[in-house]
Amino acid sequence: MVFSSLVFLFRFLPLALLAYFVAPVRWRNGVLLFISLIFYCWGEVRYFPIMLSSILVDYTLSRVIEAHRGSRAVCRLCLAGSLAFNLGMLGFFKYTGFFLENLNALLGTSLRAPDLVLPLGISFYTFQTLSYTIDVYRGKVEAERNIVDFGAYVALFPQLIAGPIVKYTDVNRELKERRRFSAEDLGQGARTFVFGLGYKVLIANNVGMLWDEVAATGFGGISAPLAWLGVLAFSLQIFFDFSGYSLMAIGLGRMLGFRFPENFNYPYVSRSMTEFWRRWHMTLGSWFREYVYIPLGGNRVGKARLYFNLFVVWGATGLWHGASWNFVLWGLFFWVLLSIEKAGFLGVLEKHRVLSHCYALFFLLLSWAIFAVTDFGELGRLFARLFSFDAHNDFSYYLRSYGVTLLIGLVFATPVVRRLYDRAAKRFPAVEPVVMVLLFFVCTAYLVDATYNPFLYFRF
Amino acid sequence: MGKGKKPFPVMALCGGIFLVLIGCIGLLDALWPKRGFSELENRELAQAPAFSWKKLWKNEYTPEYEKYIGDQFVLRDQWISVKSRAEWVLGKLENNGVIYGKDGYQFEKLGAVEEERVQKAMGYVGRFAAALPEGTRFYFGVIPNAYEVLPDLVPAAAPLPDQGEWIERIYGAAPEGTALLDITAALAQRAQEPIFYHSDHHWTTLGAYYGYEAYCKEAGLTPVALESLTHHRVEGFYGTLYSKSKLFSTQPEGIDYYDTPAVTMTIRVLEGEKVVHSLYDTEQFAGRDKYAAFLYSNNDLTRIKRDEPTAERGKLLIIKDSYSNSMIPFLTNNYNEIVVIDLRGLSVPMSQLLAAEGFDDVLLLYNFKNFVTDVNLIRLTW
Repeated sequence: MVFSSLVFLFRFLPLALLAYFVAPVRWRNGVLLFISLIFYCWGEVRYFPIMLSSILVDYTLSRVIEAHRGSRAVCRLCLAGSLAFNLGMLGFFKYTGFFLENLNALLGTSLRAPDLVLPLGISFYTFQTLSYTIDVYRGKVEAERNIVDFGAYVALFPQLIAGPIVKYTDVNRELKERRRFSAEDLGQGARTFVFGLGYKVLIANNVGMLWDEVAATGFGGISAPLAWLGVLAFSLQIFFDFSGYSLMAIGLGRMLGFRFPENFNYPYVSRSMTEFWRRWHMTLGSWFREYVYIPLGGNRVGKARLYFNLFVVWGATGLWHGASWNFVLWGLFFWVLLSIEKAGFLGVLEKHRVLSHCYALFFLLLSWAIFAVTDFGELGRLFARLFSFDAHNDFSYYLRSYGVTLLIGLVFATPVVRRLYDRAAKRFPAVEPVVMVLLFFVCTAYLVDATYNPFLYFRF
Repeated sequence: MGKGKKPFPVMALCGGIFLVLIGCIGLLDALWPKRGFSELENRELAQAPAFSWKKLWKNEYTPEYEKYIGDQFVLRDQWISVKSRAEWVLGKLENNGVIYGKDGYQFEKLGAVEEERVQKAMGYVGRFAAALPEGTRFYFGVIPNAYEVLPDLVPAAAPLPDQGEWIERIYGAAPEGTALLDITAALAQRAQEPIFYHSDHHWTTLGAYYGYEAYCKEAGLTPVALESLTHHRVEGFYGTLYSKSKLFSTQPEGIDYYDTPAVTMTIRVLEGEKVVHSLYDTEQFAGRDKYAAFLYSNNDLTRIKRDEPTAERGKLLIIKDSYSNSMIPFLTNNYNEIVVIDLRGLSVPMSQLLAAEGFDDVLLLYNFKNFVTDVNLIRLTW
């Protein structure tokens, strides 16, 4: 079940909120665990044991670490166990096919990968449970004694499938305190949720249609303007899709009494890749920084080692996004740019405002082209078209049809609208409910329309 | 805001409104009467799936349930119309495979033509023509779809294949001795007249008449004058393109038909044969799919016999798609007997049919989209 669906909005959510708020305050984590498990099972009931074992394994290992603080060996063993379990699961479900494919190509074998459906949100919750056990190991946080509370954290449905990656330390206080009903929180959460819904349903889905169309035409004969238009559309789609989903998650969390970390902060206004990664998918960036980059020595190492550390982090970041070489290439593309920036280019960028924006946008668009196209042959064709200087008019139709949508996307990718909105809402508080209701209605119309499927048996 | 007065709790209000929205719409939706059939979509809507653990385990229950919620959503058609308006505000030029042209015209979007499929189709046509008995004249026509004939009404640079060029190539590959119908030219000359529906993919009866004229010219027949026929008009037609696009500003249009000489029409249907005495299934004019009135829609094999066999020519075989349904009534003025075949439902081998009947003329007539996509053309050779 995705948040942007009729079933979620008009069945699951009202019932879940009702159950949550009607239950006595001390039962709330239990209720939360229960509704989260239903949410999880809705998409794929057969993977329920995986979720359950995820909860049990990290709960138990952390308890053992806590109980054997004196013995380094036991603690290390438990940590290794958690790493092996979480990364093993992720590796098995996400990368088996990819691994065998490459092995076959390398050795000429024809090993068949088992036909696995990726368990819902596994990329996210394995990282979350890992962060928990590592933090317990490091002594940053005490192991959770109550398995219901811990289970509620792992399965917490708002952030279960697409983040943000909420570390245990982000929410452990709220998890243990008595979260009372707060109309203020509910309203703030609802507003954030509806904005996120609008990002996803009204902007991402619509602008994504342009990219789909360009991709369906094939990159063979398109003009350079159309190629750039397509890549721009994809760049906007992925931002509004992903950040919209994060906003919905943050809003839902707020309604339930949690403050999740922000995940996106207008990444496209960045003036360097360094800045971009402080604004894009912030919880993933900080996860890699905290659990990979810094343990590797961070930047308190020699030059060669520093670039190696960055290589590891960006290779892994790329691979985390998908089991395909283009994602690795995408990660390494950032590695190269970030390394150049670290070597001194950042200073140049800081001095030139316009240049730095152009630089960042240009390379970000290219990076999304790499991200969007899995097949290297196709990717090569797309790049050839991007730099083809062929401007035959196949783009004006798309520009007209999607112009307004693209413009809306571009404007909303900057903080301008938010600033204006906040100012207006301060002077005229009525703006808030009016905008929320309108947005919600239009989103619902789009969701209902998506189920429209005329059957034209009037054969030609 | 006065001093000492507490600020208005606008966020709490938002929270309350949100709960009321999802709760009330959810409740209303749960209680809303369920529908069986959607006129608008011309299909059965999903009903509440029966729950079973087995279905849940096989991941079949939840998708069915989601489909059911979508299909039965409260005020479904009204929401869809809201979306159509929102798209208009955004200046979108198309929706659901329909391109919005000028003057309220809607055009069906056509993907790239597959070269290989066209070559195959021409191969079948060639084999079919070669198998025709000596002395039978073979006519072949491809009817262009609306956007080709009305280019001024199509948005600039719309991604559509050039039908004119393709039709030329198709005609170039036609077997020798085939009489080719230049319908594109016939329609292009009349582009100012209402020859295509605004919200349907077919040509209008007037367009069909010009197609008929083009055929008569090629076949050496005298076309009946339109003014000499008794004319009828049915209002309130919303076509297939409207069904797809749901463009809120779509206007209903009229659908014309003309009386024919007295005929007996035998339609082969599943249960055997159906005999009628009109080419028009007038009941259909009252329903939504009005174009289906022509020739009782598409059928496997239909035989139209004039009650008084006094026409200038004897027997015609026409192999066609639904475009021809509105043109065939005119042909009854020129032929004593017409056998109409729709390859998509043909249940006898073509060779058997050709051997059993003595046709004077054979006409293969398709609209462009169908000709380049229909896989049933292979039945020409069966």
